[in-house]
Amino acid sequence: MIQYYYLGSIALIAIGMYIVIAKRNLIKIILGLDIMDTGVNLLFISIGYVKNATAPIENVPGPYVDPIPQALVLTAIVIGVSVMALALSIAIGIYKKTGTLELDEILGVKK
Amino acid sequence: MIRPVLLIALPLFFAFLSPIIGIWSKKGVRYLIIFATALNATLAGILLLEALQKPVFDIIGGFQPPLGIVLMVGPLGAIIAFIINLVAFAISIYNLKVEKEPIVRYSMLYLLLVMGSTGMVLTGDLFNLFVFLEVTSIASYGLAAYNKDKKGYLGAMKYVIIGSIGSTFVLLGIALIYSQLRTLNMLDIAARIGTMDPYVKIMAFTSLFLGFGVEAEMFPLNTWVPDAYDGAPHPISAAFASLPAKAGVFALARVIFTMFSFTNFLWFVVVMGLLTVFFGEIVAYTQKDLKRMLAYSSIGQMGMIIMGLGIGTTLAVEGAFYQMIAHALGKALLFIAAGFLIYAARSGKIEDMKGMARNPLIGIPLLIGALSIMGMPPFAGFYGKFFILMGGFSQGYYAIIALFLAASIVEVAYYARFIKIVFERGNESKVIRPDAATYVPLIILAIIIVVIGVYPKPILTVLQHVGTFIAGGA
Repeated sequence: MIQYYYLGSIALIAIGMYIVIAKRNLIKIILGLDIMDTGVNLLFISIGYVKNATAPIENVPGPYVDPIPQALVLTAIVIGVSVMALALSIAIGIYKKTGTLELDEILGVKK
Repeated sequence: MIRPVLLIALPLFFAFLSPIIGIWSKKGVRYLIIFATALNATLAGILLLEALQKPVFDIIGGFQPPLGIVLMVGPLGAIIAFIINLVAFAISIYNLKVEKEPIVRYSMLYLLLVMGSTGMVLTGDLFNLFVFLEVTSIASYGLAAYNKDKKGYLGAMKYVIIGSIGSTFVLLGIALIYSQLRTLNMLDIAARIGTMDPYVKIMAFTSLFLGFGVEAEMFPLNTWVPDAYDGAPHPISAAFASLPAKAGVFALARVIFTMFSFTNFLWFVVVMGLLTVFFGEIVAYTQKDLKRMLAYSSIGQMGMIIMGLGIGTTLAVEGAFYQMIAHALGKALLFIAAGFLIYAARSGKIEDMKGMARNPLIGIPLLIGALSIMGMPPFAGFYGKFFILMGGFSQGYYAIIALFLAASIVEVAYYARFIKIVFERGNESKVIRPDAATYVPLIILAIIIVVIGVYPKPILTVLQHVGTFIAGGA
């Protein structure tokens, strides 16, 4: 069962990586970074997953899922959001200076 | 007895104090940074003396390791933290010259950069290392775009994209290690690394290595370096070369030695280091723009450090650490001098700077910095390169040594060309007088370079502990 989560997260990382490498639009690249981040977060959560288990709360009978990955992923999500916000604000700055978000036009690449 | 956590808590406190000070006095904020970094450097110095007796462990929040987060400060971590804060102090004097508004946000980000880099060096917890890496990166992204021109934005964008991929890989490596060992404490990981599945172990090592390689300016991941350095304000270029890069390469050393306990020759790391050296030095030779040349030279120097770590003998790792110290001091000096030269010549091109360094207050420190980076004997940079070479030589890696020396010759060539142009007799009338905020940090850094070059005994005493570091100690 748990292997499906691993497959899903690896697929997400690969899709994000592909977008970052292949696409030439800044917004798409930033979205690709976000997808990659989500893939790693999913991997982390599925590591701590235990079937039919509950959250580790006092007075609730076990088995419990591993709470540490959840705490780490919460931190990672917050960090990811702030990087995303900064990346988008830099993209806005680039748009204001150059009037476009296509990398080929910004860098003057001839097709 | 001071707690290492103060080195992280105080810059954080001063960073968020600066907007409040900024309401009354914009000038006060600049002096606040100088005070904060000076205080931090002093505390790091005291911590170094303590760590020399025995490694300092600081348990955060009362949770015992391996469950809680712990700061782990050995002599080597302490000296890198000390150098980082010392250079941060010198650069914060030069920060007085930054005229662009908003100075308050600039100061906050600068202090967060100092705090993040210090934290990366001091921490003993893998996830904590990731958090500090991200604090450092986010502060760097903001500072790289601080000039708000096209060059700055594009450099910052490149840095954000490559930096985020790097930190995603770090997180992936942490996830792989956690899935097998169920722990995040570095010493705990080191104790149980043998029980890991060998394939997962290699994957985790590669992920962490590539992830920290972004900050350490390793070869395929360093295309952000010239653009981000070039687009950033001058003090920030100096800070980039000295703070996050050193913290990144120290994290790399932690991964290699403390956690994965590799003790023999790591050909993978050496090859990456050699490629980095060649890429950096050869591209630097072709550059006409001063800051880009220094940025590529910085890549080359970081490659030498990575090579020293990869060769992995006590002497080579000692050399790598000496090189870290010398490079942090020397490159910060050169970038500050470059800021002055660009300001004086009103151009970033080297050929426009004819005779600009003929003022002794700029010229002598500039010469000392350049000679130290080249690796000339009486200066700090000599010992690092020498030890790396000797370390490789004693193990019989002659081909690697030959390639290393070839790259060093290219380095000498372009620095010699640069020195010849800036000291040439030319348009003396255009040479302007530097003010104190420019030459005071230059002189401070130059004096330290000369002192630890002529009298290296204190540094060597600290670096004696490399043996325990390689064996997996703090």
